[in-house]
Amino acid sequence: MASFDFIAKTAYRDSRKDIGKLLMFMGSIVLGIAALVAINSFNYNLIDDIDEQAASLLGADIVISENQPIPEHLLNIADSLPGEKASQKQLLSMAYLPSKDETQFVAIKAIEGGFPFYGILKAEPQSSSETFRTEKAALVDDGMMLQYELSVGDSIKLGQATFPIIGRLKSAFGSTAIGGAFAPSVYISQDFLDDTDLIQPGSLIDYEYYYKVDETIDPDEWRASHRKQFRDESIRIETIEGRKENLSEAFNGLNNFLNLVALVSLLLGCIGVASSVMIYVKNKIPSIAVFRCLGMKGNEAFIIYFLQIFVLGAIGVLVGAVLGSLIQIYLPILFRDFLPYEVEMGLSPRAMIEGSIVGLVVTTLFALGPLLSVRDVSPLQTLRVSDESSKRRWAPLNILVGIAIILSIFFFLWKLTASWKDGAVMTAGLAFAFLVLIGVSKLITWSVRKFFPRSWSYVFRQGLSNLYRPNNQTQTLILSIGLGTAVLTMLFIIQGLLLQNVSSMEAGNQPNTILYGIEKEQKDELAALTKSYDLPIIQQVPIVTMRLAGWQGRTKQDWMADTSRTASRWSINREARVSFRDTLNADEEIIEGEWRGTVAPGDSVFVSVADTWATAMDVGIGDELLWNVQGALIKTFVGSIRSIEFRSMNTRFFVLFPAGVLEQAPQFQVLVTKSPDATTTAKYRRDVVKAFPNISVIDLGTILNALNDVLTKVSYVIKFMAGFSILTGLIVLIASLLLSKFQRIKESVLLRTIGAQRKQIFMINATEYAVLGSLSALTGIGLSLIASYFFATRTLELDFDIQWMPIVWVFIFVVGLTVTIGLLNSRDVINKSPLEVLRKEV
Amino acid sequence: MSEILSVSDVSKTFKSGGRDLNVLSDINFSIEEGEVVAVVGPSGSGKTTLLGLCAGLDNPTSGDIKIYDQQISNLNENQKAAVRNQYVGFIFQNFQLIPTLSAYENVMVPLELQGKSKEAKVKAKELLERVGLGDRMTHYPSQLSGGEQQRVSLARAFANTPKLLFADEPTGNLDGETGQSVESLLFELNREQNTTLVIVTHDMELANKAGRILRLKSGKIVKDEILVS
Repeated sequence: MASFDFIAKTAYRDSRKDIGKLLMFMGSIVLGIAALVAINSFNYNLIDDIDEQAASLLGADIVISENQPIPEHLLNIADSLPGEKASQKQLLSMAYLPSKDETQFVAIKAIEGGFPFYGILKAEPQSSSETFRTEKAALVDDGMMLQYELSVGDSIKLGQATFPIIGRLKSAFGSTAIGGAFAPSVYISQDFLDDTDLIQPGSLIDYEYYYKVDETIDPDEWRASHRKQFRDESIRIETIEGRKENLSEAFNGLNNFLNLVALVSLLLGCIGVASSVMIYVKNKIPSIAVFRCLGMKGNEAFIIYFLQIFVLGAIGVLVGAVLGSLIQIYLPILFRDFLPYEVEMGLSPRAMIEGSIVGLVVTTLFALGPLLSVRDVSPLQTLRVSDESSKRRWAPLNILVGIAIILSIFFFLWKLTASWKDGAVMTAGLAFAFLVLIGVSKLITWSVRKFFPRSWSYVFRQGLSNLYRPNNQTQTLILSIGLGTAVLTMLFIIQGLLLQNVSSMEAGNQPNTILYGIEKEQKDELAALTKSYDLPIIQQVPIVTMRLAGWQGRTKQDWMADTSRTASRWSINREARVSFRDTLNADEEIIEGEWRGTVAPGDSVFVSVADTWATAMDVGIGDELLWNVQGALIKTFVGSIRSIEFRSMNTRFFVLFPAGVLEQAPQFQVLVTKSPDATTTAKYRRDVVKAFPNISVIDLGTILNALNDVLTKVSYVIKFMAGFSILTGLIVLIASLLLSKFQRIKESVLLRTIGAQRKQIFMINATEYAVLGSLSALTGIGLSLIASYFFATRTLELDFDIQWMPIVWVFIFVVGLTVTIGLLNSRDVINKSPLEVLRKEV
Repeated sequence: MSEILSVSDVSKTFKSGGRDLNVLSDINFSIEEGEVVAVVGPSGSGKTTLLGLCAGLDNPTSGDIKIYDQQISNLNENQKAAVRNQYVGFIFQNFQLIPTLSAYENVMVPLELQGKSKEAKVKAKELLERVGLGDRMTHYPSQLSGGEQQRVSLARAFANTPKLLFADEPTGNLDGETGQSVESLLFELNREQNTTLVIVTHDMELANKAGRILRLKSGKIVKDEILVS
């Protein structure tokens, strides 16, 4: 047995001259690991910052909240907590800006007490964050002030009350910039909220109570002991620890997306590793045969090349980890608008170590496949060159390596999704993609052979035959280019579907303006104002708020105590906004039972419920529902179940009463109309707010613009992150093509020697790369269509109505890139004399 | 003198295009220690196949091959590698130097494989000086001429003091003058180390310098003649 010293020395000696051939191998690893480490570092820093900043994000030790006044007995329990107390009432309403004669939908936050107890409201001037608490004055979101060119000293009218603006709110407390785009925050003192006259029956108000407790109280213990009592009334108790968990959960989606990007980059990197090593080993076969001839054992030869790959892989992993740590410093800038606080970025040793270990394991496993063939190189190759590459493809060790690769991906995905089932499904999905790509490459080589176009000109035939001849790169390139294309195309498809879905809401005769909070006596006057603008009244419906008091003969309290209950807590406790009418709308369809539009006095009341609500409540036709309509109990039965077109902009109701029951109940109205253009909307909105300050006007156009902004930012972030995958894919592509150059160069030189012209060599290479690029891109696009279809229809619940142009561009881009890189690789052969190239390469 | 190589009833068949192709059949001969044997024959007569079988690079379809008393056709790949490393040396027509190793490192390989690193350094230097390449030890194969590469190959072949040296057309890729000098060097080193030499060649001038000629035709030994020097 040769000494390890000799094996290590030979590994070093043998790698000195050929290190350049492994640069692409290193590049694949570096990019894959960089993506993994950058993303993991970002995640860990995010989690660390959640830990550090959760207190200042919550602003108090305990927060109690609900979208209705909290019952007195529960508030008394909370108020008995020793320490300080504050509260906030938040409602969405219209604001009128007298100096600009403009209106804006805002989130009014009326504060009482010293909230926040932790952290500060950043304002300019900073003193205004205190003075607004005692004066009749408003702190207004800085973005909104910039948009309307407002200055401190201007005024803002909220409902019936006008407030001077005393400061710019630099950061809305605990909310994201994206959230602020829909409804900018306006802070006022709670003492002056009643002056606005906006608190009306049916107003959407969030009540929040904040407590800063002294050290004798453990907030989490207090929460644990009171949680059930509060939860039965649908009231939330939140503590700093709970907020940390909620934040971590909220970021899970982001983490999963980023981790998937890292996984794809890593996998593409691994394909790069496998293909680089495969070609490297092929180039080494003559040397290995000589070693074997001189008495080296198969395993010793294997260790020599394993050591080379392992050491270079480890260097690549380290470089990737450092590069990833540098990149992650820029990630928070990218995600700034989506985070409720500034994330401090530092080096994350955990991410670096984890990334390095994962990187080293997968790199080694993917390199092992081709490396194992070193053991099988016959010494006879010194006398006769033969292709015995497939000799032991199904040897136990090769199968073991294959299983190890699948298991390592499964464990990685299991950790990623925290569910072994999801991990298994995703692993199976990836395996399917790989199998499809390998299958396609086999099909291509078979079809080209079988249906070879013998009548074509020589250059095209030669280019095509390169697809199946020995040492072809068909499988490697189809895998790497196909997978890269699949990722890129899926990104475009999903982004396109989301944007299309949003814009379809605006199209056609869909209503685009909704007015709510209309009092019964304002109904006719508002209708007249609307008609004076020539705007159609598409819907004007009454809304009555009520709560479920019981169903199927049992009280709500009885059900809540029942652990075998199947109805969801959310559907039981939510305040129902119910309407009544005698006909159904066009976007409603009865799927079970019978719609009864009217009810005679004394008859049983049959309501119609939405299919989603019926499922959540686990009720069916004939089941009894008991409602508490602001103190009065009304018994009803499920008469029909409706499906509702949820993308319609009409008002929709989970529960619909027939005419003749609720007419006298306290109610407010909603009016739906369609404005022809933004100018009319703005004028109409301004006149409505001036005449009826309590009425809120929701302009769908503005919301769609804000949504478009969000989606543009999201797609930018997605594109940046997917850039990792694409860049790795590009490296793999360059690596594969560059390595295929070594396969093709001798025959190209030979062709040149026997008289082939440059143009002919150029055409041969262009044909090969154009066919490879096109087929890889088509396969990738096919895979992405399958994946996007399931993702769009199952997860996002979107119609799969895709736009083909971006896909055509992806196809052109991929094919163009493949041909360009392929031809750039061949320029040596094309531009230089055959002898010069032979001397250099051989 | 004892028998170093014994070939009994050896035949070799390849599958080609779904048909069996008999490359060698009923080959019987033995070689004594210190003999110089030339294997000659026209192209396709099975010379190189026979050399591969005798050196343990391939297995016969039937028959036995022994180096000393060791039945090499029964050994696995690693055992055959150990036999080659201990007893066998090679010289190839196309030199077969490892392109990524310097001349010095190429020559050291056989001894280093035996774990004799110190000895390898001394012996490699000595042998390279012996073949006239003392000043080119650090050069890579691509920096050497064909004749120089074959001389490095000679040095490497003798590095582990082989008992049996196989040379496959050792001068086939060299011009006449260079071929002559490599030939002389090969015989000189062979004499100095008392190695058993088996040369496969087309070149009858070279074959006539051996003590015995095995003539192959269509996969069979048609003549085994001892030459009187």
